[in-house]
Amino acid sequence: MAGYRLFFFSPIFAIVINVITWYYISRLLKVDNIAYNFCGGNYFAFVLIGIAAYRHAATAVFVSAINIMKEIERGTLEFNLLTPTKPIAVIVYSSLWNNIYGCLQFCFFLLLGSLVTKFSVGIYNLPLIILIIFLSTFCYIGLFVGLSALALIFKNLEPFKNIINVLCITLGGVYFPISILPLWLQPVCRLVPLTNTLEALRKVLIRGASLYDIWPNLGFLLIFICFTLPASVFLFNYAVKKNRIIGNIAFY
Amino acid sequence: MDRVSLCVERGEIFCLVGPNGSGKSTLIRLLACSILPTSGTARINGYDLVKDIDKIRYSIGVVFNNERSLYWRLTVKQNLEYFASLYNMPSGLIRYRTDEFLELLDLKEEKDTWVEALSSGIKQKISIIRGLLHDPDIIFMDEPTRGLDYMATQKIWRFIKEELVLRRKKTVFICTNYLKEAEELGERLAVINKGRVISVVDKRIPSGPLVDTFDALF
Repeated sequence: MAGYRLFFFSPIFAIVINVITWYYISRLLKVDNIAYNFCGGNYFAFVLIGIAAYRHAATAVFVSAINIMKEIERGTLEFNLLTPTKPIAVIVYSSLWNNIYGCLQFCFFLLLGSLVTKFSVGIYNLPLIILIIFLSTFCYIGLFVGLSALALIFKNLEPFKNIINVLCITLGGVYFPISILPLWLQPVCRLVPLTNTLEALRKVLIRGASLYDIWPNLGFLLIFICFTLPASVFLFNYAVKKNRIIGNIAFY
Repeated sequence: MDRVSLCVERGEIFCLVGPNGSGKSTLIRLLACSILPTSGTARINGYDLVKDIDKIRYSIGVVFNNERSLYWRLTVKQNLEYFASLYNMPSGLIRYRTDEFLELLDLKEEKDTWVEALSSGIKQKISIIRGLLHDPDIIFMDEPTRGLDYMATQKIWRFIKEELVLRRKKTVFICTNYLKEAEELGERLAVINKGRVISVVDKRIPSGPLVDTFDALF
C-alpha cells in the first residue's frame, strides 16, 4: 500500500521541482524574440503550460499503454478478454484513471505556476480550458488505443513510445514555439494534437482569448478524434483477433 | 489440433489426458474462446463457437493453471470482485457468491490478504473460484489441482464431483496429465497425443486400469 501512495504523490514532488527549475531558467533567457510576443513575452508561463499539457498527454497515453504491456506480462489480459466485456471497453476503462490523474497533474502544475506568474483563469475562460482538456483527452484515448494495438501485435512498446515521445516534445511546442522551427516543418507540427492543445491553452491562459480565437485548434482536435478513434478501435480489434488466431495473447 | 471430434454430455465430468505438448491446453483454450479456430466447428451449450462467442462466454467458466493471471497487488476478494464485475453481475450477488465459494474452499481467512503473499496452491483455488462466480453451465479446467498438496487435491476433487456436478448440475471439462486425477474424476476420458484424440475411454464400461490403456497407446 505504501508503494501506491508513493506512486500517487511522487509526481507532486517532480512538479514542484519542474516549476522551480523552469522559473529560474526563464529568468536566465532574454525574452525579446518576436516568437514570444505570441505569449506576451512570458516564457515561464509559456513553458509551464507546455510541460503541464505534455505531462497530461504522457500520462494518458504512455502510462496507460505501459499498463497494457504489464497486463500482458502478468497474464491477466487473457482473462480480461475471456469475459463477455468487450476488449475495447476493458482497455479504455483501464486508462480512465490515468486520464483523470493526468488532468489532476495538469491542474496542479497550473495552480503552482499561477502563484508565480500571471494566468488568465476566470469564470469566462474556465469552460474553454475544460473544453480544450476534454477534447485533447479524447485525442489521447485514440492514441492510447492505437499504441495498445501495437503492443499486442509487437509485444513491445519501447520503439513506438520513444518515437512518439520525441515527436511530441520536438514538434508539439512544449519548450519552444513551433514558429522558430524550419518553415517546411511547421505544417507537420500542426498535425500533432499536442501542438494544437498547447496553442489553444496558451492563447486562453496567457492572452485571455475567446472561443472565436481558438476554434481552428479545437476544430483540428475534433477532426483528429473523428479519424483516430475509429481507426485505433479497428486496429485494436484486429490485433486481438490476430492474437487469438496465433494463440499468443497470453505470451510476450 | 488434428481432426478432433468430441461430444460431452450435460452434467458429465469429461477428462482430456495426454503427455506434455499433446494439445490439451490448446484444445481447452479453443473451446474457452481464447484462441480462434482456423477450421472446423464446435457447439458449446448449443451456441456456435465462432458466431456466438458472447453467449458462450456467459455460459462457460475457465480455470487455467496460471498463478500469474491474478492481480498480485489486490486482495483475494478484490480480485474476485473485479473479475466477476466483467460478467455484469450485480454487486450484491458478487459479494454473496464470493463469500460462499471462499467458505466452501476454506479461504475465508485469506479474503483480505494480498494475492502476492499467498502460496501457489491458494492462488490456484482462487483461480477456481474466479471461474465459478458467474454460475456458468460449463466449466473448463486446465490442470486444476496443479500445485496443490494431497489434502487440498482431495478436497478439490470432492468439490468438483459433489458440489459442482451432483449439486449444481454443471458440466466439467478437465485437462490433466495426472492419470490418477483422470481416473478419479472423469466418467469419460479422451486420450490425446500430437493434437489428435487417439482414444476415448468410458469408465462405465468395465476395462483395466487406465494406466494400462495409456501404456498400450504410448
